[in-house]
Amino acid sequence: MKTTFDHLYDKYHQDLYHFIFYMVKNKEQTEDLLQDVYIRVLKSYEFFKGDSTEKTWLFSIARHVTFDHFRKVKRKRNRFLEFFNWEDEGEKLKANQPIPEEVAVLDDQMQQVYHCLDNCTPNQKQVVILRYLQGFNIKETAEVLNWTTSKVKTTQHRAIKELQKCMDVSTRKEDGNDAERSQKE
Amino acid sequence: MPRDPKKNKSVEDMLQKLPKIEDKRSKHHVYQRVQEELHHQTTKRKKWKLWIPAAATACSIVLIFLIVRSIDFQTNDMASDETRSENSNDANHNMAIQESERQADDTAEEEQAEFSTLDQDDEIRSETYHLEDEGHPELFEVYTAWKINNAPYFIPITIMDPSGGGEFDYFFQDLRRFIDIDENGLQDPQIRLLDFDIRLAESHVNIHMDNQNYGTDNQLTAPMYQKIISLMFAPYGIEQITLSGPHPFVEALSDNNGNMELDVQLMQNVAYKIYQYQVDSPTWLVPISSENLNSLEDALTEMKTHEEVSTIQATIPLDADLNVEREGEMVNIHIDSSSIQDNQQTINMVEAILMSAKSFGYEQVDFEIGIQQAGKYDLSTPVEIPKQMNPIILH
Repeated sequence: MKTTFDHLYDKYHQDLYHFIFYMVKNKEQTEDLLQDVYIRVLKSYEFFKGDSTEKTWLFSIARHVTFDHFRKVKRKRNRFLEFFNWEDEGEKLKANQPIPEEVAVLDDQMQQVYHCLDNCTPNQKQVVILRYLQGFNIKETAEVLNWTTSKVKTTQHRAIKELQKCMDVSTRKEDGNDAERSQKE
Repeated sequence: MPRDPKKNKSVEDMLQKLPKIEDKRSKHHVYQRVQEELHHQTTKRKKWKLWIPAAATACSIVLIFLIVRSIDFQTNDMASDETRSENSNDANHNMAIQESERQADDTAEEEQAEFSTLDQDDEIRSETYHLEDEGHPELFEVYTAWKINNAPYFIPITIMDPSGGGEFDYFFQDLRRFIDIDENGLQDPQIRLLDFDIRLAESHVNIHMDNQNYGTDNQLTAPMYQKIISLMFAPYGIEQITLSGPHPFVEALSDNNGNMELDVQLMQNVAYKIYQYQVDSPTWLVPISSENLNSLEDALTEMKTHEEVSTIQATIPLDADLNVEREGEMVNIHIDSSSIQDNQQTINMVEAILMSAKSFGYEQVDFEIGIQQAGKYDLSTPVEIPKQMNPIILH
């Protein structure tokens, strides 16, 4: 088991961490989820048939683990909201995760892109991360997600449109704030 | 809105420049945590392995005790008051045992319920879904078709048995066990009066019809019968069915050469609407066929209108602006309407469109309808067409 772990860690650990982090945007959760990924992988590694590449297989497991996590969080949140009957307010609550140092040092526009990723649906987000942050091609992305290539293309197109919309809104807000500030001065 | 390649490019560039977030922990630390968790899981499983036989043994002992006591009770039924008093004590004791067992069962049920809840993919919502695409290796599906009372429309209903089963006879003996025909305003298809020889592996079905009563009570005609049989067997990929027997339908449906091979009619080029018999009855997707439905656009336009029969309603809002674009096996459907929200009507519309698109040969639908989620459907990405329609899932 140690040999398999060493092999997977050396080859894919940082990429998997990077993928899960951008999906959940929380380092502690990323560590927990990555641990779940290793457990699932180590338990089933001997059954890996090689129908897909090792890399796409690992990422598809990481994706499943992350989506399971989202579902659990959503269920917990819904139970909590039902308990307090805060349905309307609850939908407006947004995750307020701390920004990692690596992002905090970026310029405003890059930070905006980072925040705008949250405007994408989980499906859109995973496509964007795989395609742009991990450098997977369309075919590899389709393999990881078990989708058709046309579905990947359409989802990517939608995600970029959503990000662009979010960026435009943020820019307009900032321009408005600048104008207000200069008027006061 | 046309795409601005420059703007998109800059978003794409920025995405590529987002920093790599790295795990600062050592390999040894990560491995240790994984190992601890694996060890923890194995210990937990071992405890379960020990607990299960122990619990089974305890249950058996309690059962044996109860049986012996019960025999004892019967033997001494005619005995004295004193004995009766003892039995009464025993009964109280039994009740106490039963109560404690019931409490234990309740706890187990609660735990199971909690477990089931955690296992479910989505949270429980109040919406009704007419399509099902749950993969299950043991799933046995029986496709059925039901004629609406006093109207020439048929509801395809899929009875799904997750425990496997695999015996058509069990289902065909009396389909009314699964669907309340009075509550739904449907006619009994009287499948039990037909004699089936179903060989799915050979893609062949023989139907013997010698019961002259078939089709009389439910006022079926030969073409209606052909429709019912088609809806029942087309999903299995069967294209022709051999008919035999002295029933008038056999002759009516045979060709001029006396060939008794019945062509299975595929559900092609249809528009799906919603059928509901009464206000509090369940709703079902119902296919509407017409010679005028030559394209998916025609079908979508048709879906904006109610049928003459008041129980069949439109599935697309009347004010909807429709635009359809094809891309191979996928179709992009753009709908602009003020009525679209994440509610039951929109779920009905999405499901009706999915099935209509299927009847025109598409496998995925990319919805652009102004919302990204309708019930369980994630509309931010193309939706695959589910396999089963109007499911009844047996537990």
